[in-house]
Amino acid sequence: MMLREKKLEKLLIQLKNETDILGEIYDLIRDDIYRYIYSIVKSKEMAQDLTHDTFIQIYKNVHLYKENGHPKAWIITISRNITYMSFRKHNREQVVDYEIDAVDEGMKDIHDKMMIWVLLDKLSVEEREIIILHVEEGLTFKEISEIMEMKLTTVLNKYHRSLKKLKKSLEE
Amino acid sequence: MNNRKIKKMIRQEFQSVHTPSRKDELLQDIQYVSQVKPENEVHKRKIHIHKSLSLAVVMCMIVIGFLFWPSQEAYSVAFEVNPSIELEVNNERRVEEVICHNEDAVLVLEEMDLENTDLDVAVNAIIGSMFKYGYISEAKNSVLVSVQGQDKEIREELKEQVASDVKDILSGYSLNASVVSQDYSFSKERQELAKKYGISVGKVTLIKKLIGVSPDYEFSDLVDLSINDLNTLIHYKNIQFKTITIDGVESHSGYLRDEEVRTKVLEHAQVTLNDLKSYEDELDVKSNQLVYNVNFTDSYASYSYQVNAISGEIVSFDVKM
Repeated sequence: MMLREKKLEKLLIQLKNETDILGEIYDLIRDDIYRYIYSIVKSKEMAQDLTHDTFIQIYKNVHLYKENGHPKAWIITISRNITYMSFRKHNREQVVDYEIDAVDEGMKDIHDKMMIWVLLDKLSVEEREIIILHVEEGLTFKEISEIMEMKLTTVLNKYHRSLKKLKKSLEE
Repeated sequence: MNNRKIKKMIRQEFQSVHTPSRKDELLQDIQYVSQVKPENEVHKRKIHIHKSLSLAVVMCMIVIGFLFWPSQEAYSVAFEVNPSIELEVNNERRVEEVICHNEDAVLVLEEMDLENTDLDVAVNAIIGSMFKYGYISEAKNSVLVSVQGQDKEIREELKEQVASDVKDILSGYSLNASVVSQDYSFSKERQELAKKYGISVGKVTLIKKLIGVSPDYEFSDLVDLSINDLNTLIHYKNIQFKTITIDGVESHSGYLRDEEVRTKVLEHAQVTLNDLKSYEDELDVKSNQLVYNVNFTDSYASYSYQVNAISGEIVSFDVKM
């Protein structure tokens, strides 16, 4: 287990008894959670709100966390559930259309202008999630398959295809 | 740009994305949130998740079932070493789809785009990459080639061609490989077993055939063995299959030799070679590992040992005076 993961696990265990620890956890991984949520919702404001909600849920549910060496995967699962729940609340159809139908149209987020977001737009939401969870968040394919409730081979093949798509886009 | 550079670029650009801290607001908000959820709420949520999960699983099974249902014209050619890769091939012997069955397969295929290439080009690239990454070596020289399709004649022809290509490619790397090749038509039962254990249909088929002639083994006893281990077991037990061809001898350099096993158990039992009255050993499987079952006697006792064939660890022993 990486040093950062060890620290995160230790903090989660402490949070069960010490409320103030949530601030430390927030400082440690808020950017990670924000980037992951942003890659799905593509809206700065919405990603910030959902990041905030994720930490409230971490606090509420920390008693359910079992020490297993995968604290980040547990937290990502919470943020994913919150994000998709929020999607469903707004409009079931929006889940599919979100990537085209940017929420802050007119006030395009600065992140959107980054080359990487232009590239990631070529991928489906699921493909984007797999790429980000593996490449950026460092989760194993097995952890991703559990979080996304997919077969390991499906995750592996989607990842492989996504890299091919990105490569093709870069060469165009 | 290769995949490594793409991943590096993603990481670099992501690291520059930050969100302003709303820590004070968060710490204020949790003052009004209770940490432990009531029992009944947890229970209700579990039921809800369970229902959604069941629905998702059913939907996935329908979609996957549809996707993997073999078309009349498609053939699949699968390679299993530890990386497990399957190629969907059309009548013109061009690759239509590449399927990775495990993480090692992703690594092997990382820099390649094999769709629409000729089968022989794809085989060359895959086997070359497996060799380059050390999955095929002097110590692990077994490769399983499996062909699935409807027409037996086409299947056999494909199998022979691919197995021969694999052998030749590895000869080019000065490696004397042992190529295990087989062909079969679609079987729902084997497909389900492959899904259950997370292995390829080819490996399921090989294990099923092995159990067919050695009924003492359970499927779950053999599922984690490597192709080289399975090949060694087949060779050791002198099993001949009608429908499986084995070209070349599997490497034994990764396993303990008989003399090494004997030295190990005699040392452990503090028995000298001169004191031995009888000695026999046999290669077998225990908990998905190749082991030597060793039985020997001296003037005072009879000894039974199980020794891991790769690590040399003594798995169990028993002494009867």
